[in-house]
Amino acid sequence: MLEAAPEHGARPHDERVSRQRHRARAGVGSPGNPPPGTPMPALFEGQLALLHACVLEIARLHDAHQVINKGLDCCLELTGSTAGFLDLLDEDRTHREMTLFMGVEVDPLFIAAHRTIPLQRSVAGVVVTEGRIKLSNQVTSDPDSSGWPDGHPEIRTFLGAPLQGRDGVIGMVAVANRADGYDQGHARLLGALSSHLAVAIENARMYERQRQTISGLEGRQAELSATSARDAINARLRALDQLVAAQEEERRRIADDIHADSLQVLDAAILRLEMLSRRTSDAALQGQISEVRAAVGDAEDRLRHLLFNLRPPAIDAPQGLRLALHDHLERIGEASGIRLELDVEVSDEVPIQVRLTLFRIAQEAIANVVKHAQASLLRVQAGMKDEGIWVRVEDDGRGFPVGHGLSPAGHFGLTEMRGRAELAGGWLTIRSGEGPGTLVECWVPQR
Amino acid sequence: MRSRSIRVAVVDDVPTMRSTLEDLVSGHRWFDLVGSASTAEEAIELACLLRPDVVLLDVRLPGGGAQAARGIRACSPRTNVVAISVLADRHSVSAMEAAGACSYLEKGTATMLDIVSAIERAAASAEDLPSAP
Repeated sequence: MLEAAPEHGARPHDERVSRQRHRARAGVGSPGNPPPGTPMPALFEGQLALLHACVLEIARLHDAHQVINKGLDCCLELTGSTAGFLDLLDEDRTHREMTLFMGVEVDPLFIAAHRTIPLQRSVAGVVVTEGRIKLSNQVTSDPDSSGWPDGHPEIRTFLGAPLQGRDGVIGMVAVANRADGYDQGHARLLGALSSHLAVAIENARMYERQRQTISGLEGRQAELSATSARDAINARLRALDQLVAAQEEERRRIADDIHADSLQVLDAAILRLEMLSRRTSDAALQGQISEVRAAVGDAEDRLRHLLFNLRPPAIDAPQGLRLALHDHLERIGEASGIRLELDVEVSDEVPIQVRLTLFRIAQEAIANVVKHAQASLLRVQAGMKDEGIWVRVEDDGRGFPVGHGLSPAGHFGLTEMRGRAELAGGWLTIRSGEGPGTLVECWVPQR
Repeated sequence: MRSRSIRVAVVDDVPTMRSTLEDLVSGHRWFDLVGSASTAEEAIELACLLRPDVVLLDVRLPGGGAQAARGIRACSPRTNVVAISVLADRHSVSAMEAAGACSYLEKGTATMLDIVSAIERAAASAEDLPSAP
């Protein structure tokens, strides 16, 4: 059992040196830090090997928690101790945070009450405040001792070493209650290991900070890409939406102009030609007037067709889709020679934009049938489903090969219409070639 | 056979059409052109003042054709309204009939004779109505 000695040796130099030499011969180190110049006691080969192994193991870890655990474990093993603790300082470096206990039964109330300990002069405290190894084999009578708080485990022998970081002491590691006490050899071992441990802890913290930074940056970049991609898409959709709206608005204005002036003027001209014809009994003259009247009538008819194709006036009414489709089919019907069926059941609440979109899609599909299908029957249906409106246009004609893109050459209108349907949040499909005829089907949400 | 001329007013906001209808009416032996208007407001004023037998009323008017028809009928119940329009879409037709028009003509398809007979028929049905108290 080694006698306790104060850390700051007050004895004369010679006496201390001779005591050390004596202890070195005995194979044990002297307590307390030897004065500078004193040869350190040799470490046993076994101890060196163990130190080496511990240092390697710790160096491989980069998780701070693992480093601390493994580190304290090694300290216990190296010094032949069963009890120990490791403290890290708080951010302000004014308190020790009791980080880890090993091998000691500690009252949970004690831990709760002493989660952090202000730095002060005490057996453990001086390790941190003075940044030096503290060895004591009679702790209760040690001059640095300031007594124990309630619930503190009994400490008889003590060896503590600071954890020296880059910018100063970051904490401490201590081992305790070795039955035979501690010597300079243990102090040297603990000193060596604690240096490595401090570096490992700082590295682990740096690793963790960098990992978090990278993770944060990656997260933000992903967010930015997603956001900017989303924003870009939304901006384009809005632009397209505005384009379509502007297109419809222009059509409405042109239709209004045709409606307001040009058609009426032609109608007035036709009436006047009739009136003129009645003013004469000259058959030849009447004949001429009749020719003129026919020509003007033809112009009027074409203009009227143009107006309806541009924007059916009926679309403005609540049942606009049904009325416009009806008028449209009526105009086509006789000329085309196709049998026409119309069945539309939609609510009054359908917004005008949706009515127009669906009308245009149906208009395009119908035009294709009339132009290419050589059909005998054309059926147009519409109804409500899933908070939206569906429209079907089918015929019993030739059909066309669908597959290379949406439409064969000359049928780009339907590709555009699919674009319109999708822009409005819906879809459009074409089925053809699997049997007679073609089926164009679309759905648009009611919004 | 009528005892007197049919008193007709013409309402249309397109000048070329209005003048054509005016000439059509004045050119007829038994029609008297009593006035013409180009807005719903003017049409109602005219009807209230002159109480014509028939008003030839364009559907697309500033102030609304249906509005004009209602005002005319309210002011002068014996006046019959013949609605005339560039487009005979069913929505417009039913709206005008609901507002009190007794017949509807489409400018593109209606001939001069169609217009004349429509006016005559309207005048005849007006005579059948009991006089307003």
